Amino acid sequence: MRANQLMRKKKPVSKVVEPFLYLLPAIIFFILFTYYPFIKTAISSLFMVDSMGRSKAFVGLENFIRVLSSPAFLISIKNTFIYMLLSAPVSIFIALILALVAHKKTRSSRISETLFALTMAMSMSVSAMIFKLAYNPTIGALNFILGTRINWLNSSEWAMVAISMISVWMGIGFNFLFLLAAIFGISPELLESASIDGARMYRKTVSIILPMISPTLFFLIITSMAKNMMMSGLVLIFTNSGSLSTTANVETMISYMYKQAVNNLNYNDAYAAAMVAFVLTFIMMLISFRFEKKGVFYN
Amino acid sequence: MSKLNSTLNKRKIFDILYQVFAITLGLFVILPIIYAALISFMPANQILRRPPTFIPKKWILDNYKLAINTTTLGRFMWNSLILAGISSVVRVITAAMAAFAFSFYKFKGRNLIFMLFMGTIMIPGDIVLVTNYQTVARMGLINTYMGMMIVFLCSAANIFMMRQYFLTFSLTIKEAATVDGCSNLRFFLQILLPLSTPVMTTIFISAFIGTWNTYLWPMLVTNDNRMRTVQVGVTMLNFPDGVVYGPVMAASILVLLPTVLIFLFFQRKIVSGIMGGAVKG
Repeated sequence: MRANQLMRKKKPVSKVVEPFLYLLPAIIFFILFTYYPFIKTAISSLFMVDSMGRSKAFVGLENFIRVLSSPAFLISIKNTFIYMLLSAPVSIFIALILALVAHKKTRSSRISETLFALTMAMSMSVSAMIFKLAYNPTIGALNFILGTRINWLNSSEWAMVAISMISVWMGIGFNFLFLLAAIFGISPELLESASIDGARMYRKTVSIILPMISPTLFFLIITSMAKNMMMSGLVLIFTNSGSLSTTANVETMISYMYKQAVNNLNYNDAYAAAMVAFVLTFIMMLISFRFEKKGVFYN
Repeated sequence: MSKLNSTLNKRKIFDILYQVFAITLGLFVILPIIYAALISFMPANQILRRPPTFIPKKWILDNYKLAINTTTLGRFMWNSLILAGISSVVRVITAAMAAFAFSFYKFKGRNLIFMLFMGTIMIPGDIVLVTNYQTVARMGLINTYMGMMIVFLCSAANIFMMRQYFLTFSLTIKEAATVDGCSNLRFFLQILLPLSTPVMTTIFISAFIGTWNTYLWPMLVTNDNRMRTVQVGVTMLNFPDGVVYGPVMAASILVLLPTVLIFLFFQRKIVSGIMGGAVKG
């Protein structure tokens, strides 16, 4: 219908060029800052690159073999996966509980909804600064509350958990809003009929709400995991603010890439690491699209 | 009758308890913010006390004074405001222009270009970070606002959102405007854009919060302290030993204030923005 309306007689040149004028800024931008750097990174990862970033000789997969056999990078992959498996699922689980609490409308719903969603407005740096104090082994709140004596950011077992907790917290707001919308998307008749039947709150939750929003839940988990594969900010903030005695405990794929490129001018390892991270993320995204097709709520 | 009353009362009490529970839970969620706020009003010697205490014995503003007077926090804020403000406006403009072409013109390669645009969503910015840094350095944009903004000027997700919105307009309104002798550009500027303020506001606000909070790129392309954004600056504040945490928490509160206020003010808009990206209506 729309297409037919658009189909008209032959146009003069000015008319042919016109739509491209509107597209020009975006075209230039995407070529310059997305496709060109992506292709250059992909190609450069197969070359020997000097410290100025110039490609010297074709080496095939040599960069990948070296990076993938470097213990430091393998640890960074492991850390990235720990972060990925911890942060998104825990955050989404908490958000789910909050969304279940909030879906019952009361007079103060707006206040509790705002409080639940507020972490959305938090920035990574500020969150990192607050948690850095909370994680302080002697004067921080966390050890006091838990009654522990853990040096959170500098312990090989806990450092990645500590970093994941920050991201769990920061993600609550977004995940909450998303899940609340999914619950409100369930047809009211379905929920009403359940309450008339005298089904209790938890039964309603288990038998109606959870199955109805499960596509959204899976979609959220997988897309967040794909996004978390790219995490580097928190690691670099803690590295740069000098709060870590060693960074090996928390290095992620992208923070590894960043340090190789910026600190060591080792573009060979940086490009190869970037491509490994890309391929892993790409796989996650393909999985997430499959979930999306299967039916996240469509209004 | 009295039975009915007592069930009504029970329901009322349950309702109140439920509200109290929900708000308590909410306060628990924002506990880290409350924690930071309490510490920011606390004297330095109390912060360093073990075991830690959480209610200031004396509520003081010294930490805020230190954060504002001994650092360039004001300058950082200004830099962030320029970065977030200008790049969000430009992002709305580039999105509107591209979406206009996609939804009101028929031309060769339209679908291909659209797919290529959407394909950029699959390429995370972090992957191309190093090469983009080299590009920006070659353009001589290190330590400039332009260098800080340039990678945020256009977003495929925003183009998509805008296009979805434009597609809800019937083509006949453009036909009618053309018949009345209205050029395409005038139609775009004087009819379409004014009708699209809701979606443009949503894009602007979410872009603003996103760029205000961004860390990695502004850190990468600046090394001059005067050009630092607030997100980079707040992690590098230097205070004399012994009084570190108070002023850092005060600075953190000052930094999160603008986005929290924007969020509170525009919560509905932001929510519809999130859903717009997720729900294809």
